[in-house]
Amino acid sequence: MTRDDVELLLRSTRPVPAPFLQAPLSRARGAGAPRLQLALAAGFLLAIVGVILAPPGGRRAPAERRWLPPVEISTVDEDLSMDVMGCQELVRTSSGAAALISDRKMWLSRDGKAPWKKIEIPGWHPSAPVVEGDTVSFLTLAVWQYLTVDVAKGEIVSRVRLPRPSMGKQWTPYLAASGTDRYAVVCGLGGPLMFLRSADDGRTWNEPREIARTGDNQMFYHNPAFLLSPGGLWLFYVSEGRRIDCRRSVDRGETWAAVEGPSIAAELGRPVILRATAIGDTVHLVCLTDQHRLLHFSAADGGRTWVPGSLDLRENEIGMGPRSRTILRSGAGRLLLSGIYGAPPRVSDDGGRTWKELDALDGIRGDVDLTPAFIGEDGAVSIAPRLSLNSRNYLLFREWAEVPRSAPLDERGRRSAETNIAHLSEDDIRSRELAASELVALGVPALPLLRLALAQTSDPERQARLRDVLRRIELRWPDAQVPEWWQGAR
Amino acid sequence: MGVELIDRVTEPSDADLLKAHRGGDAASFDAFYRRYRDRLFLYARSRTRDDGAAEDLVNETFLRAAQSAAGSGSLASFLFTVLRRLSIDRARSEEALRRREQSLRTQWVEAAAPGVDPDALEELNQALRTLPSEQLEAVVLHVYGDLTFAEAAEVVGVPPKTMMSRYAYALDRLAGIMKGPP
Repeated sequence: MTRDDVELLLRSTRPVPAPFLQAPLSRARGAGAPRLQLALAAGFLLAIVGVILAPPGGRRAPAERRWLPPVEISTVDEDLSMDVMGCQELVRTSSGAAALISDRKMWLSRDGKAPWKKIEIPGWHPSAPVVEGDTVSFLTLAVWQYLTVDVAKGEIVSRVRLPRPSMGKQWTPYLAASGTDRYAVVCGLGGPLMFLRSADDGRTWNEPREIARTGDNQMFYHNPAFLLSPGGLWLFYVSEGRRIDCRRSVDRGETWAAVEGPSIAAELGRPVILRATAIGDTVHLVCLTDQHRLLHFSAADGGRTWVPGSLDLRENEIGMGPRSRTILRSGAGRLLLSGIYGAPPRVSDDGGRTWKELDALDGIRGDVDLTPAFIGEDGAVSIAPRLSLNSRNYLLFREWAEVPRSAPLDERGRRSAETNIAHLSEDDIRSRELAASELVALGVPALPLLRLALAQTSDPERQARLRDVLRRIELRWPDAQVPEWWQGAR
Repeated sequence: MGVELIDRVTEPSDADLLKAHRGGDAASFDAFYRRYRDRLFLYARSRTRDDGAAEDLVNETFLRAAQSAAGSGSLASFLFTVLRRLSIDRARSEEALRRREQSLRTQWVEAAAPGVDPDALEELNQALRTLPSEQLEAVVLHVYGDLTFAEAAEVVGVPPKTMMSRYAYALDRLAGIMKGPP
């Protein structure tokens, strides 16, 4: 192509229309309405429309994954004063039903939305559950049993008493499943680690037998980690000193061989709490030390070589304690780290090399002190933060879910949204209220416009007005009082 | 083309529109805005390579235009000059640097008349983004901004001959990048 050809081509083109003022504003509200501001704001909105509604190549925008509005599980004081001091396990079933298992009770929801149904369960210190369809099974202590609950129906399906091991006070149960096999480990305050197995879906269990012993006073922290991976059964625990001990069985728990666990440098402290999960053949282990360091290790060779990960959270970033049962989970190749007091969950999509904070607690007010979490087979994350605010406790549920983008507004709706977002900048309060109510009436399809407008404005007042409309649409609290724990509360 | 020329002749001048706007005629500013928005937006895009920043710049430019007197010179030159200064200020912010990385994937220019080869148009859009800033600026101001070389040079603050050579280099570079019909 010659220079003249290029110039000819240039001269036969023109700038694409700027995404401003594609059509004049037809409404004028308020005698003193700043016309120019409205015009510019409308132009800004049309820019957004250009981005959202006309993606390059005309492709439909994919579904997005984001945190849905939180819902309340419970705010009843008696639910939250004593019982929540115990262990909690959050779980979701394949159909989307959710359960939060706590000491002596659990809360159930068919779809993760309010209201949640509370049912009493005998026993406390529940194990991490096994999920099959809509049922979850777990062990409890005090009443030493294997309990199965249908989450969708909201009822206990079966209770199986387990043979009591000859040990001191039972403190922490662990459960794993493969096919019809169920594997259980129960730990006592004196240090014994007892193993049981069922080969018939938990209906009958063999006699418990001791397979290892932790150091004295270690059990109070629920410190061992029990794991079923493709490489067999793993049991990690802390004995005396700073060593992480490990037992591994490749014959369904018949025999257990000692495996050397990762070693921890003296300056990092003594290991206190261990949590483990597996992604394929790789076993991931997270360790909290008494120097308030949180460390991550992984081994892909049956535990012969432990590779330290990048995770090394320090004192001011962690707050795990006896209640922090949910610390490490995995799903869809993703690692999830939660149960860190006051901190949002973290995920790693590269086997622990890098970690990213999830903005799961955005918008939530109050002091979050416990965050059980669950990661599904599709990598979606759910959390159940417990928080304190103004001397009250709240137990919430929030999920990070795939949300299909809503159908775009039609031309009329789009024009209305653009105009009304522009009118949110007006000085006249009645005009603003009218604009807000018209935007709320447009509903979910107007959300992309509103979210983008919010993201791109730096004016705090305009941000507040946009947030208010977003809250009213997205959280569906158009008329009711906003919950105190949400940032939109007055 | 002829209709456009007639429109230009019969339309009120920029100065008339701004005068009417300051006199309270809101519609006159709309007309003024429409007249320049696309060209200014392209120039802002070429300066920032960031749609969001470009929108802000154009808005800010019009605000300045509405508030200031352009003097006796060309109003188009005045607008491009204001936008250029604003873009320099903005480029100093870290935010701009960060957002610039998210370069535009959308088209910058489109066919002004039927018969333009879509492939050539696509190629031109790609090629424009590869031009050095100074050359791109020359093309945008001269071709799309409808400024003479002297006016464009005034906007940028360089001698007119420099502007002409930048424009020539830009054409050469575009010709080198674009393959043309097989």
